[in-house]
Amino acid sequence: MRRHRTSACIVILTVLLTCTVLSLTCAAPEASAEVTPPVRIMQEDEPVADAGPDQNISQGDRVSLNGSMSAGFEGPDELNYTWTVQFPIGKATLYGQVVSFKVNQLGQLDVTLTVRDSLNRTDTDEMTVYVFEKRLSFLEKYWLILLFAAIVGIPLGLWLIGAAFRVLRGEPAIPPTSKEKTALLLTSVRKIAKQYTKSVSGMLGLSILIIFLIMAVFAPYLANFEDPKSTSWINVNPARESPSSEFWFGTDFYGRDVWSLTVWGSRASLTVGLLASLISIVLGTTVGLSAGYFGKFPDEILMRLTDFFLVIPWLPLMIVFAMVMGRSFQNIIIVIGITSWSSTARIVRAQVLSVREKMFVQRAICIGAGDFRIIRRHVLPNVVPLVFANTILLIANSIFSESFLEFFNLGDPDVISWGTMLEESYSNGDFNSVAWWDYAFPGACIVILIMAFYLIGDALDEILNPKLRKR
Amino acid sequence: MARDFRSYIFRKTVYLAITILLILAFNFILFRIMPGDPARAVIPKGASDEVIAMLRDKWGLDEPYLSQFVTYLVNIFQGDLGTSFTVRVNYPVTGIIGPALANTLVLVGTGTALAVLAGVMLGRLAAWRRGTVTDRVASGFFLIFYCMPTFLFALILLSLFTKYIPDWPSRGAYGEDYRYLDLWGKIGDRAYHTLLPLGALVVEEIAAFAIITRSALIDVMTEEYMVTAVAKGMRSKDILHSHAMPNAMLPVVTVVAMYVGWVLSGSIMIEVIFSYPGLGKLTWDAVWGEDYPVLQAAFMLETVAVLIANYSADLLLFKLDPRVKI
Repeated sequence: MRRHRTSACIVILTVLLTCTVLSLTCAAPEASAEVTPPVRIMQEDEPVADAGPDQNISQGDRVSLNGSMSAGFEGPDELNYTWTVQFPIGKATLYGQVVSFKVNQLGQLDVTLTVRDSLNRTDTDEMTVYVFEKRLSFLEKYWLILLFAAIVGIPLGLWLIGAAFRVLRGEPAIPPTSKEKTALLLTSVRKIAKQYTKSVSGMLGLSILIIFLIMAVFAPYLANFEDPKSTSWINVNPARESPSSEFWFGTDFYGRDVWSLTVWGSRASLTVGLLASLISIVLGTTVGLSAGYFGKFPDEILMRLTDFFLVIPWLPLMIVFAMVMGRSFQNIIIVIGITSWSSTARIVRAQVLSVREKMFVQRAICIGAGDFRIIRRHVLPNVVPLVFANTILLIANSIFSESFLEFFNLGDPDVISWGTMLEESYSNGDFNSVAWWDYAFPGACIVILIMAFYLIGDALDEILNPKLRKR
Repeated sequence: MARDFRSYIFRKTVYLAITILLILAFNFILFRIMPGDPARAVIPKGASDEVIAMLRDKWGLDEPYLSQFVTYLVNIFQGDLGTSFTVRVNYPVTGIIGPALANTLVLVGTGTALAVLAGVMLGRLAAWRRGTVTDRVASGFFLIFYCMPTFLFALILLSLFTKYIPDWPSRGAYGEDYRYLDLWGKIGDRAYHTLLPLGALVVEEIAAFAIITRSALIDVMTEEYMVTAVAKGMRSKDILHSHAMPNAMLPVVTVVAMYVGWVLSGSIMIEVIFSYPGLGKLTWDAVWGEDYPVLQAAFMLETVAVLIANYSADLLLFKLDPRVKI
């Protein structure tokens, strides 16, 4: 009896289980059929390409091509996607379900999507991307030129206003004293230049710097392509081509010409170097002047601040600042500027302390000259030569920091610089492949440019701050 | 001014304390203005407003910044640096920082010691043979390595080693079977793994120290007492050892102390490239993981280390150079 009862139980259980399993397996396709709307997946085995609707984007923006609406027997994830993009200068082929690249050229791009399933059946779909002109604000477009114009223009304008007032008062536009001063300045500059041309290493550095300056200024004529920000040149050339007569420095992982990239990169490095050291010079000179001149309480506070910035390891500080301020080209300049002013401040303060005790400053105080006038007319001119030699070294350091920040991905990824090139080369694994040209040229450029600045700085330092080394 | 060692120490110590306090304040403010609400980062998504308010209350995020700062200071002096967000979730930061600090100390300590020794020796050699071919060639090499970004040199070294000696370990501070080795095996394994990053660091720093020593020594060699020593008929080796070097070492000591910050920065690049699990790598991971407590602690440690190095250099300089102004 008991055995019967057990077997009955087992039978009932088995029936129940089978029913449950059956109901579950039956329910499952029903549910999925409800969720996925397109009918063609179920009915057609042929893959269907869907490149999405036509897109309108503005110049310089990122186009994102999304083929995930395509369908096939195995579903969209199992398909092979090939995008063919017809650029004005050539055709590019990109692979992947979702691809994106930047477009800087006006006009339209004809995009063809080809999907291929595992049975090698294909389908194509076409779409067009229309690129419209981007309206950059005036400031965005010309900030660099404006900045340089301001640096030259504001002092010139002030001088012109002064001259106009002098003419109105009936004095000669150029006062005789300033004529004399200019003559003195010219002689001293001539003297320094004569001394400088004697120094071999200084001249070497200067000639290297001039070559790089020419590279930066004439970049549009030297490079093979126009726009440094464009990554839409992907796969236009064969990738990783070794240096030849056509591609002087070879091509990189994306098929871009390394020579052109290197030429454009000199612009970024020099811009960052000059502007960042300008910021740090202005900051450092202001802090050093006011600390040294006013002394006592302001001096203590400013010098503690300087010590703090001098002592703090620059790299973590830079990383943290770059994190806080976000990734852009202007921010890199600001970050480097505000982390490197402290040594200038120290040098300036020491010089100001010694100048302040000089007789001519004491006399000026006795006459009743104001602080501002004394600083401007007596202290500053004696500080400038020191700062000048220091500036050159600061530029070298700024270029160093810039390449570092770009290499570690803290800079603007769209601005082509030598650091970005090294980073791309590193992340594409060129350091483990035969493609030495991809990192050797930008790397060598960084080293050579920094070296040029050091050589110039050293030669100037020897002339402006002589230490009687000639024995 | 009276040359009083005690007042000098006192002054320097007060400065040190002020600067450390400044750094702590800076550290505190900087991570408050970072993008993103710290509460948002840890609170699980979908938590109700009441829970968020309770957690904010618990962490003291609603209190005024001043009292938060006091709490922060108290916690730091009690050795509580908070818990990690992303590097190792909910693990105390001190536990993460400790081993990383030890690794970095091994790398930077050995590296700096070797680089100072070799750099001073090479710089002395170049300066003493000033103007000869030896000096020209050596100076050229120093300049190239001085101008070469550390990360570039490390990368080139790494790629050369992986290409020609593929068996050489290029990642980490120890191998996979490290925990099964005995003591000497452990030390050997560590040394084997540290050799490559150490080499990169040392070569880069040697250049800097050699350039400094060379220029300091050349400055000293133009002094009057050097001529006097030659006129007395001293042998040039004795002049170098007893007259030139002690004086040339003064600027070198100052600059070496200043360079600790530089070396630390260089070690970050090297640690990232060689995946060496030190403080620099930790900083790096914390930056990308937005792990603010870890970043804060690492930043504080790096800064305070440099500060203390400078402080000791100041004291050492006072002992070495009788002309130091108080």
